[in-house]
Amino acid sequence: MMKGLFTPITYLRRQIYTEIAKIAWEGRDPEEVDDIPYKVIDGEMAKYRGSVFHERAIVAARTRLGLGLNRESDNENKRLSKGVKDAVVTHSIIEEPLVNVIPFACVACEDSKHIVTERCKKCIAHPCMIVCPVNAIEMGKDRAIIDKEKCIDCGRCKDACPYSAIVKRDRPCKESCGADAIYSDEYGRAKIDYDKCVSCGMCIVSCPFAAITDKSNIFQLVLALKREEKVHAIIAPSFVGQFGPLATPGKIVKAIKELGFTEVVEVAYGADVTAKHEAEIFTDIVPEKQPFLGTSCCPSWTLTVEKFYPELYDYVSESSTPMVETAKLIRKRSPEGKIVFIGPCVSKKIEAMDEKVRPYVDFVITYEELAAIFVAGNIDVTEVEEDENDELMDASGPGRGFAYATGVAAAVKSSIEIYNEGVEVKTHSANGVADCRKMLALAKAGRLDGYLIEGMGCPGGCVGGAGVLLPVNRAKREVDNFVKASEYKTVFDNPQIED
Amino acid sequence: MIVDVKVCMGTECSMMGNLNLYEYLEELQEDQPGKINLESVVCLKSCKEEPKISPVVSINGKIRSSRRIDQVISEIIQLIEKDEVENSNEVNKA
Repeated sequence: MMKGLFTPITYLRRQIYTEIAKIAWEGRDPEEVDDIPYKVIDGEMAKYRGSVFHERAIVAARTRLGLGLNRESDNENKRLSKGVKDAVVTHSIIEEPLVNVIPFACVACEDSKHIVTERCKKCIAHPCMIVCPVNAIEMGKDRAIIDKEKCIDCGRCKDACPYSAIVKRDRPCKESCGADAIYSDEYGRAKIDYDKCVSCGMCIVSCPFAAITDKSNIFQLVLALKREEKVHAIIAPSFVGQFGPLATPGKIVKAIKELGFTEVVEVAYGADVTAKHEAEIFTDIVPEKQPFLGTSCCPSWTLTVEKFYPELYDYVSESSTPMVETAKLIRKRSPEGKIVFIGPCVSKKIEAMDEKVRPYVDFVITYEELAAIFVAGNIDVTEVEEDENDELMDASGPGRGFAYATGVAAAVKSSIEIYNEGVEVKTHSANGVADCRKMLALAKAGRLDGYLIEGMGCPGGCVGGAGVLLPVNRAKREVDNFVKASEYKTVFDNPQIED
Repeated sequence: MIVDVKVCMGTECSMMGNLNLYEYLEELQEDQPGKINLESVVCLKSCKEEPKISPVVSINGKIRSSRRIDQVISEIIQLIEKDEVENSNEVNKA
């Protein structure tokens, strides 16, 4: 997967976000979004694709989604700014579907299939034919030929060929999708099956043609910061290090406040609440009332359970997620304020659209989107002066550890074991949607009875989310340091949590 | 140290590729022990200039665009190789 690499697509995406944020910050006429495709794709020669017009049309489509608007029909004459007035509000306008394919940007990659390339030497041994379990290979005029109808994509021919002449042609979006939610339209272009899609966002960062993207709250958030009095930021524990090695947690907090946020609270506080709550639930009901307990903090994970193993859905913890717990805390003292979740993922945007969550969380933005807001607002995180008010101390070490795969299980496990001395809890973790489904298959087969199971939609856990800026391995190290930096060594040590 | 590399870690440069570039440079530093001095620095102000060349790095004091990660890496490698050639010429002369 291309995730973690900085490509021209990454550059393009972040330019678009920055331009959108600038229009909002500078209070310019929103119809100026029409200029964005010309700013980003300047000149007369195509930079990336065959024609500047194609490139600009793609930028225009991405800009519309970046404004939070829905995709329009591509068959009618519609200016990019048509209906942009609907976007000029200070609340989220995002409607499902969240993740969208831009069909005319898609190059209709063939579905993953094995094919014989010209490296085939028509050898006498033809091991490819010998190993094929369904007799799908024949010798053609120039090379061996695989019958697509018969081929089951087992890959044995690829492994057997002495010339490495057989390759698996990948469709990157489909390969990255753990929910098998990508199929083709009548022209072979990618289409998302929303009955299966769990909004993890992996397809967004895998498509090498920038054909998939999600909707954004950037524009409305910047307007809210300019107009509203109280805008609160709640920030996920994976935030550390995301803005570079010189951007300490304190500087990030200060920079967020300079944008106009009233305060910044750690979502790891909510993680402490959730971990404590799940410790209590686990002790009560496993294994007497149900065979195992699943964590609930990742929306893509809970959607995976709901869509693929609905019979196991009752075994997912009913706790509110850390995001909701933290938002509830703030909502109590700020009934009219806007609450903004800043995090690594696409998935939380779906959770925030849920009617039970809407009263608490007003916007969700990713670190990538926040970086664009900083740049557009001329704030450099490395240049702000932090003080003791900018030091976050809302959460325990284990709560902060929710940010990477196995961290949630570890936090809940240690909480259960403190709550019940002598008890030892078995845990199992899965990261990435495909891995989560495998874990659920094991659970269904009764192999995880008595366990606490942790599911994360993104490879590596939250630090591997689609909206991160920092490569995953470094991000894990940064989170580890932040975990150790907390005064509170267990969730029970956190004085802010009610008993 | 032959090559002194300062990577601008201002927010714009970080977002536009320098965070990822830094990972590559750390690996390069390991591959070429003792040859590269690598540092993150605060905003070098290139984002404020016209024409805009950010993201940027400074190599041996000269600021250049790091928009193309491959070009930055090959420039650094060329500087190292040039120095190695010069050194071996001197050794041969002696």
